[in-house]
Amino acid sequence: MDRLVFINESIKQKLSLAENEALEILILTYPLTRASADTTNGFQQSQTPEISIDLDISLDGEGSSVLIRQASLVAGETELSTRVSIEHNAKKCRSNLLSKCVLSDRTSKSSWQGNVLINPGAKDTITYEENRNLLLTQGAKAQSEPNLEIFEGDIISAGHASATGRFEYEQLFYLMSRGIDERTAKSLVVRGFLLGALADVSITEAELEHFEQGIEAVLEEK
Amino acid sequence: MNVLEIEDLQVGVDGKQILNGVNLTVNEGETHAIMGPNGSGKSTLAYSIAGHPKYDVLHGSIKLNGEEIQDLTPDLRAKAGLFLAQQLPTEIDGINLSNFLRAAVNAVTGTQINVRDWVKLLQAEMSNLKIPVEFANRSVNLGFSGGEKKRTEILQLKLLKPKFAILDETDSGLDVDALKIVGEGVNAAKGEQGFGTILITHHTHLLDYIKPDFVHIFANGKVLESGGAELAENVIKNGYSNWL
Repeated sequence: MDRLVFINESIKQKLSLAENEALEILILTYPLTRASADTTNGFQQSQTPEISIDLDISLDGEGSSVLIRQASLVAGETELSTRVSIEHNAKKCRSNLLSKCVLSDRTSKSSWQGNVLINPGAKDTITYEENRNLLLTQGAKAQSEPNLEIFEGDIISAGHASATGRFEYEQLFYLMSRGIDERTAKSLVVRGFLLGALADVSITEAELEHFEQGIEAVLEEK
Repeated sequence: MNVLEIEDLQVGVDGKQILNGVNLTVNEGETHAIMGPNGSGKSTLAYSIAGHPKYDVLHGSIKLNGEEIQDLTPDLRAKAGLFLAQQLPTEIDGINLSNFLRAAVNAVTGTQINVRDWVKLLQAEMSNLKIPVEFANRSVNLGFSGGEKKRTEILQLKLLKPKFAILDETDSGLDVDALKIVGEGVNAAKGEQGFGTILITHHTHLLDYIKPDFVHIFANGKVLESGGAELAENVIKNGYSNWL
């Protein structure tokens, strides 16, 4: 299985998958800490306030498949825009896209668009796309647009979902009323939410560690 | 012996006084039912004891074993031994029930339970309360039915072993079967742990399962009359008309 990893960088790529080709894509966006920035040899460092993820994936060969996992922590004045398009052009292709985003500040923004297109002839397709956002504060903005177009009647399943929720004081109170301090409560929720997107994708220990450091750094400032 | 003492407690919410001088003393092992009509301030009492910042204590004291707890944040009150089962337990996306409860048990007991022991303990307690085992990996209360949420509250009560449990309308929205499971769950926890209980309710269904030692009629933000189980019988027959 091929694997592509994009960490804290803007991307614009078109990919075509051939017969039986399987691809995993991992996209992580988070604020770099000084500690992780110093040690992230080879990781592209992007502290620019705008990050754009633009991916076009064509499943052109029969039996090709793509699994995409995106976890983002958008803090400060960062704006993350994501557009992922997946075209099913052949039989028995699979696509699965899960994207989770936490927005931590009033000035943080995310816009997300997932476009799944099932073209005529793409029989026995299985596809699923989901985008979930968690707002930690009033004012943070998340747009979500999961699109699904189906031009083939003989498919197995095609699903899409989107939800944006808010971490509110009542939730913090609930956790605290069970003995968990405020800092730990926030960390549990944010980590649980984001790491939930990474359960079934390959990720190295270093990648995970830097991501978790990014999460803790944002929570530390709050 | 553990004792929770509430003295002349006056509490305001959003600039409006809701509690008008509540006096209540609960000793270890005792069950006190607080009964009163909707809007009488029963839940305000529950949240004030648990330390929700929306509720301003204007006057009076809340003492646990002689120590004033008003200045403690909700997590410190839980560590001191208080537990509030909410009427409408909050849904929290992102954190699964097992991780949440392990963090809570670790925080309250001050220990680090190892994962294998934890899974065993959690599964046993969930099975006692007929909570499907897969709920352990679902986000806290998210998408749970009313009955499942209430059972999950009782699961927490069993695991956190408080000195005093406040059950806020735990019987609301439960069918007979769920009521029985919840009632038996509370009794089992109480039998094991001997905590004092404040049982808040506006009807008497749960009292069929959990027998109160004391019943307090609550209206207009204060206790109007206190007595034994016979007071609850009176409410069943006549409602709250005698007191309003």
